[in-house]
Amino acid sequence: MRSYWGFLIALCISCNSHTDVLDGEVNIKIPSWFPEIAYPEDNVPTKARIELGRRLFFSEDISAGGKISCASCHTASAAFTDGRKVSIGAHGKPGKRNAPTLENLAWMPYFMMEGGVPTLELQAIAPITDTLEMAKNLMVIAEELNNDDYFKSLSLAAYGRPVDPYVITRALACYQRTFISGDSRYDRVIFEKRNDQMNEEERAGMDLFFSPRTHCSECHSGVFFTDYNFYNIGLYETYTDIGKERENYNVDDRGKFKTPTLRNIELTPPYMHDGSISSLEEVIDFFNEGGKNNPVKDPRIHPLGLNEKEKEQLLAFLKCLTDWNFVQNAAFLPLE
Amino acid sequence: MNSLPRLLLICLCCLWVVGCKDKKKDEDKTPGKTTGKVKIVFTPMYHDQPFVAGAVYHDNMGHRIRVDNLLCYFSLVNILPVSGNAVLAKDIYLANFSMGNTIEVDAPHGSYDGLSFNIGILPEYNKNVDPTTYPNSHPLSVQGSQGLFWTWNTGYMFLKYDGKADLDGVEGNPLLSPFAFHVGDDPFLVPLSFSFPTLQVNAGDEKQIKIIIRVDKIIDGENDQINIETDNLTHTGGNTALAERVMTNFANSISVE
Repeated sequence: MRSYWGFLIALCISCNSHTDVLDGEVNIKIPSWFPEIAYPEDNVPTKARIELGRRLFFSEDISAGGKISCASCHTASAAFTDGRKVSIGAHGKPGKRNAPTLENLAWMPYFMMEGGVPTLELQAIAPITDTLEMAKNLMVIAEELNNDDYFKSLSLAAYGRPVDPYVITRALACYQRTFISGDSRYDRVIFEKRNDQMNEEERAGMDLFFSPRTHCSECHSGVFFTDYNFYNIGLYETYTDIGKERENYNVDDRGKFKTPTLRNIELTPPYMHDGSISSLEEVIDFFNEGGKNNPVKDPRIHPLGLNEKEKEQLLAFLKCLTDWNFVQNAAFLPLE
Repeated sequence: MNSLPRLLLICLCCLWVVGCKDKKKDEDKTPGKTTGKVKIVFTPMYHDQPFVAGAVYHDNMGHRIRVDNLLCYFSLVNILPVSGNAVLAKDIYLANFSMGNTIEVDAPHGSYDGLSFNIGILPEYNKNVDPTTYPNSHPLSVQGSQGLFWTWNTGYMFLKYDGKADLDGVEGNPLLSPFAFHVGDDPFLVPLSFSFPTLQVNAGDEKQIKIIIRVDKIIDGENDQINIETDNLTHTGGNTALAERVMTNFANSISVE
């Protein structure tokens, strides 16, 4: 099955730069400079699966009290974040971490900021059942949705079974894998050779970003601007959220969090795992100052000595990573 | 024309029935092939009284505590014969001590003098598993796991022990101080083995083995007193030291008779 997809993808890549992954009815555009998507064998996208996932993503019925949906904290116009330090859950209580952007999840090797969840399907369970987020029992959701003829028939069409936790997690993952962002001005310059897409200041910022002087691109690397690794960047001298250590009990991993992508970074304030830095300018200042002392801080975090002009150049470059077509995509809005 | 196949079918059915009867007779005659029922009954106690979830108790430090949830996974529950191979009673069992918990097993005729099991789930069933792929009745499923699946990290809590306390220990005071001991992950798997006086199981017998759990000993350990005023929260990660203390006390609280 996977080789069949590989063949189709290869065929499409050979045709144009934005390729179409077809599975009969589904058309998922993937930039040609992105790797192939390795879909789970039991969750290859179909029209019905994506539609079910989309319905679920925007459904407030999957939260306790029926007041919030996935989209409440992951809004497309904000690159699937919500602009808050931490999101507010179904019971009106704040969560513990800043809502991460949901983009290019199809290539993410593991989920959550400490990387403890291996698949996008499993990840869906966390926010739905977390008492500080949607706070609803998956079995209750399934039972309620099965009382809705539309959901039940869509579930049968998508997965050949009534709504259950398996279907809910698969459909949400299937829809989220369509959140593909690779049409920024940076992409146009680098991969489509459209040199008019960046000005001199932005190019200077790009040079700084990829220079050993800043080390930015050593962690924010590759086409997704992340190495998916875990680092302590010296945000605090003492971390209350211990990050990776929570997962592996290694004190040397205290305060380490997964490198976030920088795509659409302009649209996802506030920043850091706890939303403690409110603007991109302040983030640049933070890294320029070298962070706070911490015994396991990454050695590459040290004062950079960037002057005001260089900081502005770096900021200008980061704004080139915004994909306006992505955040304005109608497929990421609720269905009528 | 039509009667020949029908006759053939009837003959085949007769042969099958006769064959089954003979097999049954053989089984009855063969020693060691017949079975008796063994019930493994989990018996939680609190200070020598049956434990009741939601009841208010006193710990050794004078705190009043109410245990709201006490759940635990047990895996590879085996009864051990005096000689021969262990008899698997249950591969994975989730005991929720808000209710009764009994494992029943058909044990071959013979003598038994031991019980072994793990507190927790073997690594191959714990990490990187997807609870949505299990049927609802399975203890590792979304429904069957009763909230013990750790969504942020995958894997299951092996032991969930939580509730509220009145740290002043005054009768009538509200119980406002929460405590939660959620222990899991592969390093916390605890294999246990117990012996007991020989239990003879004959065909048709119904015998019982009791697993006694001294719930009070989870906090008031024989060798380690946990003060819930200061040590009241572990989700394992972040406070592995307390998780280890709780699991050690829990393991030490178990006996078999």
